[in-house]
Amino acid sequence: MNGITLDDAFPDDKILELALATEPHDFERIAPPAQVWDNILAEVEVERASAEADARRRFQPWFRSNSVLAIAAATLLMVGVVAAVAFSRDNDVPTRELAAAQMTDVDLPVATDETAQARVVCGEDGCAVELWLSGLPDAGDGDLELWVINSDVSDMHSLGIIDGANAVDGGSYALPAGVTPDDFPIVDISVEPRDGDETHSGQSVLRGVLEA
Amino acid sequence: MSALTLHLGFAGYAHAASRTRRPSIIKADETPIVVDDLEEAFVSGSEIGLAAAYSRHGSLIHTLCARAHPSAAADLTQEVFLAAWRARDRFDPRRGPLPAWLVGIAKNKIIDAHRKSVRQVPVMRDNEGSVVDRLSDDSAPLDQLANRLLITEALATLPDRPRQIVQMAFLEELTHEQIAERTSVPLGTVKSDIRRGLARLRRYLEASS
Repeated sequence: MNGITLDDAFPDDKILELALATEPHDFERIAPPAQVWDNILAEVEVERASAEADARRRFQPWFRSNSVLAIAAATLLMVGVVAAVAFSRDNDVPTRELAAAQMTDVDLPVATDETAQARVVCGEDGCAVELWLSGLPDAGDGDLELWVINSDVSDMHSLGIIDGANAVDGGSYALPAGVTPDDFPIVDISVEPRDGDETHSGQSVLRGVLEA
Repeated sequence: MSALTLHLGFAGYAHAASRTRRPSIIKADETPIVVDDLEEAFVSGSEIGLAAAYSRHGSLIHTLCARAHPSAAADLTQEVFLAAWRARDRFDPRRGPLPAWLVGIAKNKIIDAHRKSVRQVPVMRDNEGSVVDRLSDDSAPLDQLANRLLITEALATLPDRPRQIVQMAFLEELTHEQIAERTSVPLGTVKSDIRRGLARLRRYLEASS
């Protein structure tokens, strides 16, 4: 080699020596058996689920210890709702925003580049979640479904399949009577396979927390 | 849960579906996955990043494992990618390419596996000491194999012309002048191709050791 430069671990002549030692055999590759990837993916999903469960366990005690505060906050919020509804009726304002959330795929099992904004609005006919997506996350052969979930993820309500036509321009999804953002502060979009199972698939793709 | 079964119009849905794939149904070994920045996707921790890394580098790692420890190759390949996924925060693309980092992990896993399999045979001592001790001192053959595979891997990432020129210089030991003559490429270009090729090989070798 011309102009050999010295390098700590791999000077030029060492690289040359290694290169000369390569055999045609070293250019060949052996593909791993298909089972290897299946095992990796299965293990990753198990570890991710257990990490999520840990995060929930960490969250719960905080929520419990502050239950008095939470009840107080809920009461205040309800007073606010009543006042807001009264205010809106008096002033002929049709809707009132209660809470809003920014939704992302952070720490969720399904990744996406899309984000969403949700807000809860209440009018004379009840409350609804209004949702604006930056675009539709990929749902494969399934559907995207909107949910509201309580703080310890022990209860949830489906608000229906995402309306693709009104995903970006904003769609409205009615909240069942009595379901408030205070009791169900998590908004969640999941990928649901069309398998007839109406429960949450666990495949969440966007999530956010509604804040007043 | 009461899922709303009413199905509203899904304009734009097919377009969205063709852009990305649902990570949980990825078959990394069947479908080549193209991710713009594979290393960035890998560090993000998403399954699609892991699948892309496996799709691209699974064969390199499995080849190393199969040649260094044939009986445990599949398990080792699996362990390497899981260990890499768990330690993905420690991967720094500035310090070297992902395949080299994976090879570094694979070497440790292979050495561990050899130690374990030796320990399972209780009495393996001779007048040179325990076999385990000698094995831990002698990772040279494994390093040598890993380095040769990294060199062929790094060569494969070079564009056609520089790759041919580097192979002529390193593998066939032709002089720069001979290469210029045979390929009709100007001598200055031959030299710069070799210099850049050498730098590429060094990056791969250094990052795994």
